Parts: sequence; structure tokens; C-alpha cells
Amino acid sequence: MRKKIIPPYPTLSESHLEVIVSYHSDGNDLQPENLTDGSTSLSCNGTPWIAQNDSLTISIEIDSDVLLKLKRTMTNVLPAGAMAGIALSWQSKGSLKCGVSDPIPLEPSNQEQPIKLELKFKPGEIRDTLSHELIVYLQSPADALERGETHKCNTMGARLGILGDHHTIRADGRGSVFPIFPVAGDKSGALWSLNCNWSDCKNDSFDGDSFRININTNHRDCPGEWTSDEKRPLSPLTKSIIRDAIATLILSVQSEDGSETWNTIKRTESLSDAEFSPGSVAHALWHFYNQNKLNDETPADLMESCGKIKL
Amino acid sequence: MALIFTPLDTGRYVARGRLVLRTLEGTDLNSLDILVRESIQNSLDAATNKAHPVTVDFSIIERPKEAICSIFDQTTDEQLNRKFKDSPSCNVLTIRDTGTTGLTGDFEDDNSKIYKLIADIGRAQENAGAGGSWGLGKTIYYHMGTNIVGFYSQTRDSKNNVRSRLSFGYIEDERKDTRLIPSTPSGIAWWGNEHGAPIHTKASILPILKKLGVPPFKADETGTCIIVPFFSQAESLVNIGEKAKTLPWENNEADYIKLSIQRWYANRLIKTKGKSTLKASVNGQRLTPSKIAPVFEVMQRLRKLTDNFKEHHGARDGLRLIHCTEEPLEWKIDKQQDSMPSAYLKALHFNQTFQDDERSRTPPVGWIAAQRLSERDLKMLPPNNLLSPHQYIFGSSTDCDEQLPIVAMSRSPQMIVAYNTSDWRSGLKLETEGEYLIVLFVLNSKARLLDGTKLEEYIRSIENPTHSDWKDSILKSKHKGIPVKIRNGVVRALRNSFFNSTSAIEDEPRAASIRAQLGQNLLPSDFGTAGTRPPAIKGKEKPSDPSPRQSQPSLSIQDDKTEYTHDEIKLYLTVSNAKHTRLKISIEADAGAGKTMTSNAWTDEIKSPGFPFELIKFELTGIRTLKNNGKAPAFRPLAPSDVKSSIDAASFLLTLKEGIYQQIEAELMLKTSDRSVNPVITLATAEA
Repeated sequence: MRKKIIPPYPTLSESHLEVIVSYHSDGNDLQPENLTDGSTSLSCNGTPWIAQNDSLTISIEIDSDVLLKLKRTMTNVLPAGAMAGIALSWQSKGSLKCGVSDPIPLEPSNQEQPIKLELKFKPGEIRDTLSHELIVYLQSPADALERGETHKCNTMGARLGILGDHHTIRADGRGSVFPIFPVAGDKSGALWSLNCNWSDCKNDSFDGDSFRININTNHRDCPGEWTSDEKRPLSPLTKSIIRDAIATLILSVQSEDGSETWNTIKRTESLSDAEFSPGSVAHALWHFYNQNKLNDETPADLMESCGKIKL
Repeated sequence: MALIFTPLDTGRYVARGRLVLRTLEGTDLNSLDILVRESIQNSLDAATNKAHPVTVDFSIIERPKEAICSIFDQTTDEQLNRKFKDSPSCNVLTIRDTGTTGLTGDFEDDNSKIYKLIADIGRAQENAGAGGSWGLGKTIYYHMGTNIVGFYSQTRDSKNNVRSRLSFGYIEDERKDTRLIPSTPSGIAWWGNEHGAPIHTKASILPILKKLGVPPFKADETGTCIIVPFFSQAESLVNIGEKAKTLPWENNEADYIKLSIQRWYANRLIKTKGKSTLKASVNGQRLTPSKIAPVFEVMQRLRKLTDNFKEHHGARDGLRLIHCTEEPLEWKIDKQQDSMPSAYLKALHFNQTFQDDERSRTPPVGWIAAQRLSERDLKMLPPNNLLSPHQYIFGSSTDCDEQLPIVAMSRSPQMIVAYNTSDWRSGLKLETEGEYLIVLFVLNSKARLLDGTKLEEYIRSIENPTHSDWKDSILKSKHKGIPVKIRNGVVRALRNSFFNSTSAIEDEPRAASIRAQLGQNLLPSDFGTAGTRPPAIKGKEKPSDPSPRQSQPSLSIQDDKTEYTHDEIKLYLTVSNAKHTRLKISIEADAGAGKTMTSNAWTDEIKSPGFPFELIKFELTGIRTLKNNGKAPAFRPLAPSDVKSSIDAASFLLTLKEGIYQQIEAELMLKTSDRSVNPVITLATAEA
């Protein structure tokens, strides 16, 4: 069922006026990528932007032509004598926060200067997603209503419409997360360990509950990227651990039920007729197997071909 | 008359005291906790009638040392006097149950209860649904004092005659130079009559009981009394550790036992279907409901909740519950999915693990019941100022984060097998300080594994000697993984119901970046988060099939053309992708929070004033069909044969000619009687 609310007063048309939206983090430009669920992920030269660690600045520019068009359109929806304003409205459901940027009034002048709006978020301020849109609202109502006018919009704050698109930014990069975790284990314990805890690999999510690689940060050989506060590239040792872990994961599924599940995964030609759920452990295996053309004829072949997985 | 000493000779297959005592090493539980768990479970397992209660009393009494020593043979008497030469008196711990069968059978019979408890150390409990499996838990009594334990019991024989018997056992490390009785090569011995069996005449039993300060059983009572002479405070509370014993019960055994009973058996202090209720007391003071700490009341509440909802198959997807009434606490199902529930109940299911039940339904592995509580709920604020749940459960010997949930696990006997925080949390941590999450997992005792094994029996068989945890056994690999699956299922259910998926991860920020970076490199875009299906792999594409999403019609309104008059709104609608032959467009009232009310719902619930909208005009103005090449839409005026429409006060129905219409345009006039209510236009596909 599709639903559409009709406000009891005129609003701006859905035919959008274009605005320029850009994102930055610590002075670096972020590149947006539209995902299949309609949300957007941000990255800086291939490194995902993660809200937990990185700051975010949203910049919005409205050029003078758009402003002129907007003002012309506004005459159709705004009570005579009232003035509209523009503000950036945002909400992050995961952190239970929302807000509106400082508003900019739309002065009735023909000498238009481009408008620039900025909104800054500290690292960790956003969780799950950040939704934002540029809203046009009634900033100051008309002094006196003309006789007989029934305009319900003459109330401060009444929302007249949005400019540009509604954006939803993912706080966790592209949303795809590989479950590897640092743990403070015994100094004499193993450098890394695997937990294969799924109950049904065809349906259990490929997440830290079902499968996880634990890196012992107290081990003397623990790679620096797990202990340093600074960003560091993945070390060859961590890459090697991940490759071995993927091979072990496959071997573990192979040994589960006489390879029946593994054969089902291998035989799957397309996800549209897959016998496993999207996002499941089996889906991850299917992706690893096909993407990297793994050879599973023998455990040794598998280990060798996993060793070539690109990271 | 003194008891006669009988040592157990050594031999190739004879048990050694050292090995027997070692079986309980390595457990994290305090010895008093093990004592309480083991003794109450033995009593409950021996209930005479499931409809009647079982009473268990723990008493610590002070007796003159000479009197206690004199009940044993001369050598033992001398040894004891020498060992405790500086103490004129000693403590005697008694654990006395009634409403139980007592130690039945003949001592000569290897399968009798009395033989198994006193002489057959290490023999496992064989009754289905019984508390333990190892039979080694009973050795805990020998850890509590000076390695001597008395067993006084009154039973009925096959002719319903009352029989009493009394015996003492001794188990000590046979290699210790300082052992009490050096003349036992195996470290194991017992005292009884001249035949090595328990004494059984009133004339011989009553004087000994008098010396011990233990009252005899009444004539019609049956039960068992475990007697631990020289019960040692230092020994029993030693496990609490070096830290200051800051909690009220940590300096006194009687108080500790009182708390320990609640800790492990709170759920048997209330009525249990098909099982005897436990009536427990310490030094004669009954543990009544008013004396139960709030956290254990929560456990009782969760157990009742599980019992009440067990038959509800809806619990498979989890039931979110909120308070319906406070006193007595009643629950109702919360249908809101966007707020955190007060309580939660879920039947945990595994695929292809269990046989179907008699009604051909797949049984759950167990039930998860959880309640979220505040400091006020737990009486932690003035004037009560009680302690936190973590302190009651884990004491002061463990540093635990109070924002972690507490997960208790239990099976058929309803004893709490273990409480878990860190092992089971898997990233779950409450965000609000002063809020607690208490969880109970109850195993489904009726479920049978695919090979016919009862789940209850399997889990009992993999418990450790103190039955304080469920861990896979390397010897029983056939059903391997069930404990881990249970843990994962519980964690997953809690995460979905009480935790925000992101906030629940307690982790280094840097690690989150690495996971996301690896996710980007290794996994498909948006893998698992939106459930999207990436395209088929190269070379294996299947013929494209339009997804259901594409075939759904959509509705838009040309806002800038909307006209408003005093009590009318004129709208211009566009319906796109009108593949369905019957479409219904309705006017509803905006009820806020994304919800709407139909005219019927309005009439039923609000009645007066009436539904504020009326559809007074509907006119189709144009239609766009696909061009022959199937790509660009072409506009043409509406032909009468294309569409039929019908209209009523709040909706109109479009009946389309077969085929895909790219767009349908219509003009709609709406009369409104209340401008404070927003109208909502809805589009739905209608059944033919």
C-alpha cells in the first residue's frame, strides 16, 4: 500500500530544485556511493567513513538561480507578507538524536547570493544512519490575514516542503562488516582464534555471533594496527590470518554434514535461486568461493587458493 | 556404645580418598554454594510425593568437643581430641530433609540409596530428570569439616515399617602426613556396627544423636539428616578470597547458606507443576517470600512467565511484554516494535535437531524470558537500599560490570545451573546506568533429539561434576554444539529485543574501521544489512525477471497544482505502473506517527464528530501507455473502454483493462470538515 499525506495547506511541489550536497571529514572530501537499499555510504579514497571514528561535515550550496526559482514558487504556497527560511534537518535513529541547523531566512530580494549551509558532527555522534534533508519552512508569519483567507500555513515553523533529495547516510561504511575483533587475551595464549558458533549456516547471519576471528592484543606478535590509536594499513600478518580463517571456515562447513551444505553452496549459480538467506554465513562463503575462484579439491588446495584472496 | 571403625582396604580397583576429593577441584563455586546445591538437589530427587513439599533445614549448632569425639572408636576419639585440643567445643552442621524417602534399601544391596550415598562414591544418579549425573557432588560434605560426615536416615521398608540407620563416613587424602586417621591406606573408611554397616537400633542411635544435638525423626517422618561435625567456618568461606568481605552474608555461614538457597533454588521455593515445592529454612527460620531478595523474585517471575506462555506457539518469534498491572504484576503483549519492551519471552528453535512432538510440531530447545529493571524495581533506592543483582548473584569475589545482562540457565529440576555475564554477553551491554537485564533460559525437558535421546538427559550428561555449566563433551560428539547454539540463540534474542545493534558492540573504534574496510574489500556491497541480493555471478546470469518491487503501482500528487478553498481541496493524482487491474484509492485520516485511520475505523472509535473527509468528485483525466517498443510512454486521452470507476464517500475503485498502464492521471475533489486533521491518500491493489 502506498500512502501520501496531504497537508491542509499548499506546499512546494515534489519537482525538486537541485542543491549541491558535499561531505567532508577532517578537511578531506568524502565520496558518496548509492547503495541498493537507497542509502548512501561515504568513503575517502576507498577507505570507508565510519561514524564511530570519524567526524562529518555536511555542506550544502544553493546557487542564485535555484534561489530565484524557489522564491517564485514560494509565492504560490506562502501567505502574503510571510517569510520562509531554509534549514538542514537531520536525525540519527541509532543514537536517538535529531536537530535542525541554524536557519537562513529567504529575504524577498532580487539580488541573490548563493547560500551555504554547514552541519558538523563529532566522531561517535551518529549511529546506524544519518538522515538529512533541506527543509523550507515558514519563518515569520504574515502580520494580518486578509479577510476570508483560510490559509492554515500562517504558523511559525510550518513546513512548506523540502529542497533537493532526502539523504540517508550509513554510519558503518557500506554496511558490510567482516567479523574480526581484538580481544585482550593471555600473553601466552594464541595470537588468533576462531569462533564458529552458527547453528544453521544457511540462515544465521555472517556476524560476530556466528563467526568471529579474535586477535589477541596481548600477544607479543600482535600486529600494530590492532593496538595503535593511529590508522595503519593492514599488516601482512593480519591478511594472512584472515585468509587462513576463511579457509578454516570453509573446511568447518565441509565437515559439518558430510559436505552436503558445502555442496549446496557451491552448486548455487545465482543468489536468486539460492537455498540460503542473504547475509548468511553460507552467502559469505558463496561469495568468497566464487569471487576468488577457490579450489576446494583438497584441504591443501583450498589453503593455497585462499592464500591468494585479495585484501 | 561407640561406633566401630571399618577402613576400606587398598587394591587395584579401590578408590583413593585423594582422587575422590579432587573431583570437585577447579570449580569457581564457593564450597557452601556447592553444598547447598548438592544437598537440596539430593533432597528434591528423593521426594516421596510430588504433590507434597520437601523441607530442608540447614542448622549450625555448637556442641562440646568431648561429646562429639566420644561417639567414635577410641583411636579416632584420641586423634580428634589431639587435633582440636585447643577448642572446648565444635560446630556441627546438619542438613535435614523431610518429605523424602530417606536412605532406602539395604546396605548390602549395591543399588540401595544408602549404599550409594555412603559407600559407593562416584556412582552417577540414574533417575530421569534428577539433578546431577556424576554422583561425585556428594563428596562436598567431606570438604566442609574434618573429613567426617554422618548420615542419619529414617525410611519405610517394603512392609511399611519405619527403619532408622546411622553411619559416618571418612574420606581424606591418603598421602597427607597430617591426615586424621593414618591407619586407612585408601583414605576411605566408615563407622557403623561390627559388620561395617550402619547402626539401626534406637538404643544405639539415640544416644549418639543426643551427643550430636540432633533431634531424632518423628515416628511417622521419613527423611535424611547429613551431619558434619567440626564444621569449619574458615574452610567454608575461604573461597571468597582475599578481598574485603564487604557483603553482609560473606562473614557468616548461616547467612551465606540463606542467600545461596535463594541463588540456586528460588525457582523451587514457588509451586512447580509436577514437582514438590521446596520449603527451606536455616537454623529453623523458614525462607518465606518476604525474605527473598528482589533479584530472585525476578527469577521466580520469569519462571512463571515461561510456564504461562509455554504453550503459546507465537513465542517462536518472541513476545514483547509490558506491565499491565504492577501489583500483582501482570503482563500484556506489547505490539509496538519500535520501543524497548519491559519483558520478553521467546521459544528458541533449532532447525533439524529435534523429533516432532505428538502434535507434529517441532519443539523448541527451550524458552528465554527476560526482564528489564530499574534500581527502583530492585529496591536499591532509599528506604530499602538493597544491593544490586550482580552483588547478590556473584558476591564480592568477582569484579563484574553491572551493565552486563545476567543470564541464568536451568533445566527440569528448576535449579539454576549457572549464572553468566561475561561469557554470554557477546558485546551486549546496557547503555543506561542503573538499569539491569535479568534473563532466564529454561531447557525444554520434553524435547527429543533426532536419535531419540531426551534433550534433558543429554544436557545432564554433559554437565560437570558440580553440574554448574553446560559444555560440549569430546566423548559425546554426536550432538555437539547444542550448548553453544543455545548461548548464541539467547544472545541473538536479547540483542534483537533489548539492544540497538550498533550500540551493543563494545569495541575499539579502530577495530570498527578495520571491519568495515575488510567488509568493503571482501564482501558484497551492503551485505546482510538490507537483505539485498547482489547480481548473479558472471557467466551464470539467469533470464531477468521483474522483481515484485518493480510491479507495484505508485501514487504521486502534483503538490503545486493543489487548490485549496474554504472547505475543499482539489488534488491532481498520478498513479504509475498500474499493472494491476483493480486499484483502490481511499481517503484516510492522519493519526500521527505514520499511522492512519480509515473512515470505518474512525466511525467505530471516534464516532462523533464524523469522518472529516468526503470524496465529492473523481475524474480520470488522462492515461499513458507504453509504446510498442516497450520503452517510452506515450500520452493519449482516456478511452472509455480503458477504465471503469466506482466511487463512494471515502474511496474509489478503478477497474483497468488488462495490460500495463504507465501512468493514470486523475482529478480528485475532497470536502473537509476539520482542517486540523490531515487527509491521507492511500493506494492499494484490490482483490477482484
